[in-house]
Amino acid sequence: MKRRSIGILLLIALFVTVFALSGYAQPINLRIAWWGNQTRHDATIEVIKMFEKKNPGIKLSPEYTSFGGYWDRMAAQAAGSNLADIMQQDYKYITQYVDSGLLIALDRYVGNGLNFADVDDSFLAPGRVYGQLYGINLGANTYAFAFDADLFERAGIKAPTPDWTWEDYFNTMRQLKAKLGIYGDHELTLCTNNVSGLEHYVRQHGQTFYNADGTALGFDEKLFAEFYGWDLQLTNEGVCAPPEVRLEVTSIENNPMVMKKAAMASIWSNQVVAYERAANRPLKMALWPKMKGQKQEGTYLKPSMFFSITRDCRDIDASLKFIDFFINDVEAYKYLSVDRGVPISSKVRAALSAEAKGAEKEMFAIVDLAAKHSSPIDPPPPAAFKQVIDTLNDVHFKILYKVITPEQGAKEFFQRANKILADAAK
Amino acid sequence: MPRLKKGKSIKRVRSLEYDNLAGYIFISPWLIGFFAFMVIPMIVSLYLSYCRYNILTPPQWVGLQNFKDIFYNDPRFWQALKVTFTYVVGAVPLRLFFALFLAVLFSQKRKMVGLYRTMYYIPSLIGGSVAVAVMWRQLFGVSGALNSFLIKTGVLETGFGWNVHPRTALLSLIILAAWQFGSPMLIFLAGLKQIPASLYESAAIDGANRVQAFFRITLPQLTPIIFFNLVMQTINNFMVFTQAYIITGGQPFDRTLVYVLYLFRTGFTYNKMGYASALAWILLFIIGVLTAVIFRSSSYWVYYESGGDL
Repeated sequence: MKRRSIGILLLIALFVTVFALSGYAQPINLRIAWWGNQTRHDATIEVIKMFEKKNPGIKLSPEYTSFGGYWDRMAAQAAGSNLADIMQQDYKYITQYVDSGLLIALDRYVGNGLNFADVDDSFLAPGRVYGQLYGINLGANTYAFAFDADLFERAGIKAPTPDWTWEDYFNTMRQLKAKLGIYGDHELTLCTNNVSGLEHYVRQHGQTFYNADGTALGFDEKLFAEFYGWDLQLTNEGVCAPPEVRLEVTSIENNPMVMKKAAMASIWSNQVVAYERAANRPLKMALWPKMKGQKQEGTYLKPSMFFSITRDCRDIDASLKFIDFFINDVEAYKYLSVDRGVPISSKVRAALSAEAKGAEKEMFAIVDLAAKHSSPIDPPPPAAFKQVIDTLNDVHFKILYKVITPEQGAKEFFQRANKILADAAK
Repeated sequence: MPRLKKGKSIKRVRSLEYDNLAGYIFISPWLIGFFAFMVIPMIVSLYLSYCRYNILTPPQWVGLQNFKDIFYNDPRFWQALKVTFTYVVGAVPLRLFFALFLAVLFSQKRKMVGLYRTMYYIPSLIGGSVAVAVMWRQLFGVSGALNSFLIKTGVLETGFGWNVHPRTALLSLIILAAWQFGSPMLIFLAGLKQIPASLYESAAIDGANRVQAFFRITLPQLTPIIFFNLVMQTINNFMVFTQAYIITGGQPFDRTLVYVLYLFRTGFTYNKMGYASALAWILLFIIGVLTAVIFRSSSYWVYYESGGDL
């Protein structure tokens, strides 16, 4: 009796399945890859669920990791011709992927699958490689200071203004050190294991970090010596942190500003939400300093990240549908917020900024401010940029540990970096 | 009759084949692993070492270019070799010394010896792991336990970055290695058990004291074990990676850039997989030569009761 009823049940199940399959088309399965932290993972998964509810024929399976592991993983997938359909891309990496023929140009889908009616072209420009659109910008971003206004007040120091100069920055940090006994900023803008600080200074001289074809450095050697000379000077004074402390800053949670051991920190604007959460107290934002008599603004707006469609994509139309939804849907930004930078759709931006508070509000304000005090971003760095950063880091610590002087460091960095770039271009 | 014989032998062959098959099936998980994760990748990496390969685009054959670049055009390769040799020369003798010292202590019949053996083995059990490396970073960090002790006792005024200072960074890695003496210790313990008690008894009758007994009996009798441990530890320590990757990351300015860490950076950070493969084969060659040298030297210092045939 029992056995027979199971048999009947199975038959019914089979019948239903066949019926269902004949009645509906097979769902389209897409893979989407991104890097980020837990907040971004949760938010993106929520948005994927929203999208699937509205588009029952499409299923998206997420693949997410941290930034470091992401590129290893993508490289392995590329080697196996098995890239996710939609991948998050970065300004530094996108040229390399286009050069390897891994991404699809999207120009012909604009207005035909991708609706950019509310998107200003300046947001799309950085996603073009060799004149073609390969990456859809997901948000505008800029580097800036996050600072603890409370500590500034306690020290009786005025908050930074947009026309702050390097000298003002140094003096403010020195006063913070003198009054509060903490670091002004644990590093001189982003200069530890990072080229952004030096790049900012280089751009203010109207020069570029790399030359036009990426085969050598593109600025004067003496700018390196000056910039890292300041860093050394301030470190010697105890205003910036010594090298061993800098090496231990490995996450947002143990950033000296978060731990109240410094009054300021240099960060990317979209990180301010995470910093504020880690610090558990309100933070303000300010632009990086200007240079007296600068040739151009050092600050620039950077696309925080892109979505790109890969060569291995199985259904371009469905993938475009998701990207379009991701860019334009106001509801989706209830989850996404400004985690990927200030959204590029003016409609979304208006809806978000009306309700923004705390760190999100600061983020909107700083990107607005940066738009007024910036010059266009330089072309993406050459493929060997990682080796150049490692070399810079090497030389920087030799200077901080007083193995060499900043002038000797400049010479060594130029010699080594130029060799790396020339070899890679061969 | 002959027919029957034939049939029987076929049957036997069949059952032998069947036995073999069963054997292969039983070791197949290992075999699959061996081929999929060892043999095939090794062949591929040998091929890649003659290629320029950035992972994203198919490999291009460049002949000996990678090897030429490594030997004539890459100061970081020589730096990595220097660091690794320093590390091995520091870490292996220290580890073996501690292992032997504790093995001799624990081979004596005392109370609680079993407990101590287990306790001293624990660091090695968890030794290669990420967790220990992270703990080491904390212990010797600027605001770590060692510094707070030194500051409290007035030795230091402010924290010192033991892990990252150019003078001490490599030393902190060597000390971590020395601390993980558990597995050679166990092998020494087993070796000590093998030494016949009669040797010590006759030495005692002849009036030898403990120190004499150690140098005249224990050490010579133990040389085959020392030899084994030396070979294994040298190979192991040449391949050190996790500790350097997590604790120092090669900092400061490549002072702790051990060979495998450099290989990893080249392959996965700089996307130069062909170059990294060439580095891997050079490392294999170096370890091979060193092992051969140690083997050769063994005839001068390793004592075999049977007369020394290897």
